Amino acid sequence: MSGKKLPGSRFFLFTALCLIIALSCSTYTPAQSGGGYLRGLITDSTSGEALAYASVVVKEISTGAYSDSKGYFLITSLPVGKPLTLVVSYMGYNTRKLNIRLEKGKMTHLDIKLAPSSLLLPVIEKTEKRIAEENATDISLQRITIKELELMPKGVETDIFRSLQYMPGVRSTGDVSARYYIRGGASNQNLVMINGATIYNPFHAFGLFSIIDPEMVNNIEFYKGGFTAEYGGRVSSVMNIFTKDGNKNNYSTKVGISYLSAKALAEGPIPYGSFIVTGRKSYSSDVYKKFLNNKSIPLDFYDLSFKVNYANPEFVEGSKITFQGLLSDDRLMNNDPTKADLKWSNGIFGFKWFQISDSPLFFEMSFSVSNFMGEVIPNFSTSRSKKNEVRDVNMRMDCNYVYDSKDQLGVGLNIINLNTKLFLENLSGTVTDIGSHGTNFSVYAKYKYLRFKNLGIDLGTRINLTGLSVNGGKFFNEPRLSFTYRFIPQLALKGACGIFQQEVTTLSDESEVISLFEPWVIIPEYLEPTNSTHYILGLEANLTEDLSLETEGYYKYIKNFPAINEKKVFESDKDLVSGSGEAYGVEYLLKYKFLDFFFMGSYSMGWTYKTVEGWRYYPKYDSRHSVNLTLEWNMGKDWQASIIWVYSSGLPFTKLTGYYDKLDAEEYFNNLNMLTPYQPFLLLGDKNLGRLPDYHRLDLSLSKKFSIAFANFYVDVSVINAYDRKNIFYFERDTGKRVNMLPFLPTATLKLEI
Amino acid sequence: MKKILFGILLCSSALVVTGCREDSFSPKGEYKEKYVLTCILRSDTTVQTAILSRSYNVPGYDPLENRTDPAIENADIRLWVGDSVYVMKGGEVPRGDTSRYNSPLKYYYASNVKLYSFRETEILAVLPNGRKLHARTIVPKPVSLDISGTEEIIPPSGRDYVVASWLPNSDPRTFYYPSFSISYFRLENGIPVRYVKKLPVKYVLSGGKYVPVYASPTNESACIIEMDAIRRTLQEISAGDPEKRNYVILSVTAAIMTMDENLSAYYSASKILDNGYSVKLDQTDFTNIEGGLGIFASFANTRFSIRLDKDYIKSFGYKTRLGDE
Repeated sequence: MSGKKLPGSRFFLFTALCLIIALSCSTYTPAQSGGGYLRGLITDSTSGEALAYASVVVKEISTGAYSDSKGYFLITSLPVGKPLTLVVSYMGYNTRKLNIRLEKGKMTHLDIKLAPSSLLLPVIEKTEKRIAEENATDISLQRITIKELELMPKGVETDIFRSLQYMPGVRSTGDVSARYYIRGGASNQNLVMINGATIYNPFHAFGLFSIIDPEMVNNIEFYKGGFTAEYGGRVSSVMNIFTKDGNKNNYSTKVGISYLSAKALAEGPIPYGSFIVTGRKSYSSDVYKKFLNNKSIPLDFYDLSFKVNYANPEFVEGSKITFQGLLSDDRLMNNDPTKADLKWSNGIFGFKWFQISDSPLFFEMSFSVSNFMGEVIPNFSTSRSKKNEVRDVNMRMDCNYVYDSKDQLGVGLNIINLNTKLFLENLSGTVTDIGSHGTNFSVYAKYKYLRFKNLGIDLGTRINLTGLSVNGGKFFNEPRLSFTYRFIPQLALKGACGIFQQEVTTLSDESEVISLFEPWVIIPEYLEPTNSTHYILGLEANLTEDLSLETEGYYKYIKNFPAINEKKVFESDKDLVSGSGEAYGVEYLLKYKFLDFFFMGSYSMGWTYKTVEGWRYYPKYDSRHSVNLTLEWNMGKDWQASIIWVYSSGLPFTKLTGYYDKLDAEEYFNNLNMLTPYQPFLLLGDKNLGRLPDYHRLDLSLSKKFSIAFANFYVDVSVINAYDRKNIFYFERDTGKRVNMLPFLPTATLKLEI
Repeated sequence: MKKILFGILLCSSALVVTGCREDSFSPKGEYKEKYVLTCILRSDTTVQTAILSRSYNVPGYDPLENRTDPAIENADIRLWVGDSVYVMKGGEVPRGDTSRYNSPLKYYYASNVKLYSFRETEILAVLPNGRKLHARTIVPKPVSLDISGTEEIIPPSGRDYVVASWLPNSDPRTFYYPSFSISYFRLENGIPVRYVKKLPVKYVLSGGKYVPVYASPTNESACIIEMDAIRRTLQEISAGDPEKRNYVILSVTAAIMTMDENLSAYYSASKILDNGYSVKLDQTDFTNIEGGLGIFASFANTRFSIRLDKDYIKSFGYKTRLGDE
């Protein structure tokens, strides 16, 4: 099926079918069915904030659902006319039981408020949780909630991207970068979105931290692979970050300070809605020295996020309209004109309209504009001028309809207009633009087969009607499948497979361990778009009420990925060449709760290969083994402690095999004497055949919440690399100097909430 | 609970004891000897030289520790120019810099070599151990001055920069390396001694000082020199010397080196575009030597002069001709 072009008639037939189904669903009302319908919105009772992924179970018939990322759930075909008990539970909140009675053919809507409990650990009603998720097609999908975010170790700066690195299958190349690599995919093959809007460069300070303030985040959906048909545009992973709506009940402010930045948050109600705004600003660059080999970096950054939502039933009943924005700016400005200056920024604005109705249908339409700009200003250094501008205008519509049988139909369309500009100065000082623009019009349809309690199938496809790139195949079909089969309540087999296409790339030099400028471009006309195939199979075992084990095996094949042309010499030479890659491995995740402790251990073993210009090698993020162990302890009285130990086997590097005396071209041109200007030059072995020593690190964290009068104080003290492990970052080839990663580093963050 | 806490404490202590040491680790792989041939043919001379050497290793990481001359002697090196074959002979000269090697600098040379533009020239080196190194170059044609695009006289009227322009080669991949200089005499004990002062294309202010910026290789067919650079260079010629009349300024000379494809590539690969913060581990290298490393390339040189206005020279206190009062 890969890359197969559907004949026009078949395609239009398919589209027509989808439209007919979608239209018929939208006009379908519960009155036509025999059962009752229950829809609800689960929120925090104190703030009104939506609670995503809460479990909802109708006890009498042992059926249930999860709330989605907006806090909504929908259950169909419920018994009518008799009392039912609804059990709603969520980690960190008191479980709530509600007595309900449904009427035939009528949609019953509940606004369910859960009160926070003093228990922070993941204790929810296990039975309800299992019922709610028994046929969920969620292999390789990680959902991270508000409470889980709050429990994350703070470190120098709380960072959701760094926290992801504790998950099996997620690799990093060290402490210095929050960039991540999923199951053998490159970092530019990960889609990062905030409320559906693409973020092109989600990092501050060379990738040290992300631009997303965790205070702003409500929940995260993170697909490590095999993602379903509503997502496209990248071939490795998808992270969709959903931000908070803001406190709907009271005005509140928070201020915080960490080693690196100071930040403030304000939120509160507005008529028919709420708002939230956060801002962070770096105030010290001293901490960079810890990350960057004692190098002083004159770097300054800020980010600002806001979201306003409005749900006026008199305007449009059942609608919710949100506006969001995210601005970030990083500047590395030297006073020395012999050094280059750098700056990069993101500007994202979005609008979303979410609609519910009397029918079991959710509809959402969104429009967003995402701008990215990165620039190298060479001044009088040896750098060359570079400037990258990206403008992504994105419009999408999604419909999800729930049948009486509990099956679901999802259809949608997505239009992306992308304009990339990349101005590069060549050796002659001439500036050329190698950017381009294009429009991707894609539609998707997926059918979730959920009618049996022990079987869930999500079958769909995404069809690209037009491509961003010149070779972006028209009618390129991306079929997707995800399934869950539960043999017994304690054991489920899960799997996913699919074809994925990507038409944008960064010009990233793999031999750079610290990279400052990674411009985005649409894949040029001389290359085919990247596409990949994922196969994932896993088992989920709930061994006891408190002990679960998940295992997943995967195989991923990527073809046509663009790699830097290392043989490029002349302007007429191509910047990129096409490569292929494959990755396979197995991952285990164990969760165990006992007493006031929560333990999570993961192990992954994987192999990653790339083939470029006929040369097969391990990419720089290929680590054979990795282990993450986390132990959280709820000590009571608002004390919380955690220990995290991470291990990964050595990353690849190219060995040094000798030296030779090489003619110094610059010197030669000065005196045209071939006999004198020779300098030692490195001889390197085969690419990435060496391995650095293993990496491991122990982090400790202790948190305490103090309440004084009307204010809450949150203090977090962390020790990074508690036993001062000398983890190697890289080796300076010319001096033989070993550069290590983060040393023993005690840090603290303080947050005040009013 | 106490047992659990004790267990955690024990595990953490074990990690502290065992984990904080630094692994013994060497980034070096197995050393394999390689051979390096370097020969750049000049079309403005009939004597061509080549250097033949081997790679080396050192116990540590400082290659300057190597004190053993890597030169290879007694190799058979031949140049083919069309049907003509030139056998290169071994030679040696004392080293100017003996900080690394004390032995004389060994090289190979061939005399009376006639090069022809656009003709393929080959080199074959047979080492004493039988290994062969082979490469090809096509000698470029020297460029001609673009009279209409180049200033006749400095300073030009109405502009604060000078344009030097040449007629480009037909191959767009050709790189040119323009360099500029000012020729002058200085009277030393009454005897005129000729000097050449390199002329930058501009000066930039860095750290409170003006730093010269020289022309770099380009595939454009013109180069611009700021008048400020010419003025500062003319001032520097006699900096600290109150006797300006001891200097006779002749002209600005432009030398345009036309590189072949190999030399252009070699130069491009050697340019490290460092922004001071990126850390790149693997250096880019270029070689066109089959069976080894190094470079076999060629270039052609063109020189032309641009006159300096006499009044302009005199404004600095200099003379325009020997014998002028």
